[in-house]
Amino acid sequence: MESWREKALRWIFVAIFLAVIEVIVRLNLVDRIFLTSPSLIAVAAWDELFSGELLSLFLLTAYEVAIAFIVASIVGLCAGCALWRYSLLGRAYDELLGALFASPLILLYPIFLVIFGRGINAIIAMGTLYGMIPIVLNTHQGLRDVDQVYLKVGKGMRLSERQILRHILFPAAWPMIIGGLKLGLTYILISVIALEFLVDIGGVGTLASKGYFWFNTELLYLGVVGAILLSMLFVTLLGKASARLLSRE
Amino acid sequence: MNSLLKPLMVQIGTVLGFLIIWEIVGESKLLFAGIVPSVFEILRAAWLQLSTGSIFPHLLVTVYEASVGLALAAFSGVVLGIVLGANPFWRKIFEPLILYFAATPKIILYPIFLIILGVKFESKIAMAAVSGFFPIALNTIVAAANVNRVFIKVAQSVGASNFQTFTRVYVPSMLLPIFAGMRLGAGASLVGAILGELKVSNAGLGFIIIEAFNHFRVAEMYASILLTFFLAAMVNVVMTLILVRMRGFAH
Repeated sequence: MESWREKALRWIFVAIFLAVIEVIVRLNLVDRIFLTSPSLIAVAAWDELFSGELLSLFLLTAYEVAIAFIVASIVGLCAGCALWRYSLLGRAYDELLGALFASPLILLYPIFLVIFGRGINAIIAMGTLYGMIPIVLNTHQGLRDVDQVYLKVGKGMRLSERQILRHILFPAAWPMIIGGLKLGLTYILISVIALEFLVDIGGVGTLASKGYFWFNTELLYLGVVGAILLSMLFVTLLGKASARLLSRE
Repeated sequence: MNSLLKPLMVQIGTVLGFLIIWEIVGESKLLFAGIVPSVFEILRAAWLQLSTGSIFPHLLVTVYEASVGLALAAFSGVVLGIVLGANPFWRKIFEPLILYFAATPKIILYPIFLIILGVKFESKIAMAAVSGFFPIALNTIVAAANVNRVFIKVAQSVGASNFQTFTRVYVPSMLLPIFAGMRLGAGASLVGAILGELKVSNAGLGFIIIEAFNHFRVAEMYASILLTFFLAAMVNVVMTLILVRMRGFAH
């Protein structure tokens, strides 16, 4: 584990970085249009929070991510099980999905806009597609790599197929499946925020876009910082949650 | 042989099935009328873009932006990676921050590049550089940290200078993992530049995609996306081939 000293030092460096920016802006060394100070961004955040918009934007993003994650998990887990059950499909689609995942899927967003309309449905659909692939691949791999000895023991104890699934296969594949869900959720968050920014629809991602088009530098930086903080918060929570889920087994 | 052939047949069957369903949906004009053009229409549009050469100036712009961005990303990523990888103390402090940033959507930084660098090439180059930076830096950190300490000790004990230790020990043992990072970075840089073009631009592959979208020239939009995917796949294949070649030399 890392010591508190390293942690403290890390945040001291972050604080120094922010302080330097604050000083640069306060001394008018750069144009306020280009760069704004952390304190002014904080003021903008405070104002936005009370005008009510900031909170609703965050909630909208959370809503999109949640729907995409639920759909992606259900479809992904089922598809992963199907690929494991029918090994010919498994071998064929593992490669196809892997190739799809390596391709720049995000560039398909204009197609999603024409098919789902210019609204949050297109964003949710894109997030679902992105999140589903790692969930399918990991579920399949987790089930496939379960040690055959465990299955033989289960059969030797005359367990039914359902009992084998419930008591042997899923517990053994669990860490891999959790890894897939985690990866899927991260990809959903990234694609949702990116798309919100690109098409100017939805939650947090639109803030930066609006800030740019209105020449409101504080709003722009608030959007950027908000999106980054949201991602960081999310990665941290996800790490904690998966550590807890895995330690329970 | 049969075990390899069967999955391949399923793969080909799936792609063909997808194309046939696409064609039927497009021809029937019941669902999604007007937004699912025939596959042949898309291919014709793609051929038109290639044969008239209208796509090449845009292709050149995108490749220029992505490659300059990748060069910047590679330089800064390798330098930072070596500094952090060779110093465990600094690595412990800064690596978590880099990991955090690697998991955020880089496109969100684009408006900052737009106001500082303008709407022309420079802002897309910055996008490409930021996108490609993280995989390269993270791979280099691991590579530099994993250089065999015994080799370094040996080099020092036979009286190698710092520079010689760097060129004869560090560089050869880090070359492969760094290039593996560059392979990922090249894809990320290309996507970064194109995403920037999709948002605000006046040239490049992203620009012609969004132009076709805005004027509802659907077949042309699909064709441009198809060609862009082809370019991304080519970059990936070329980088993978070079990597395999390098592995061959290393062994």
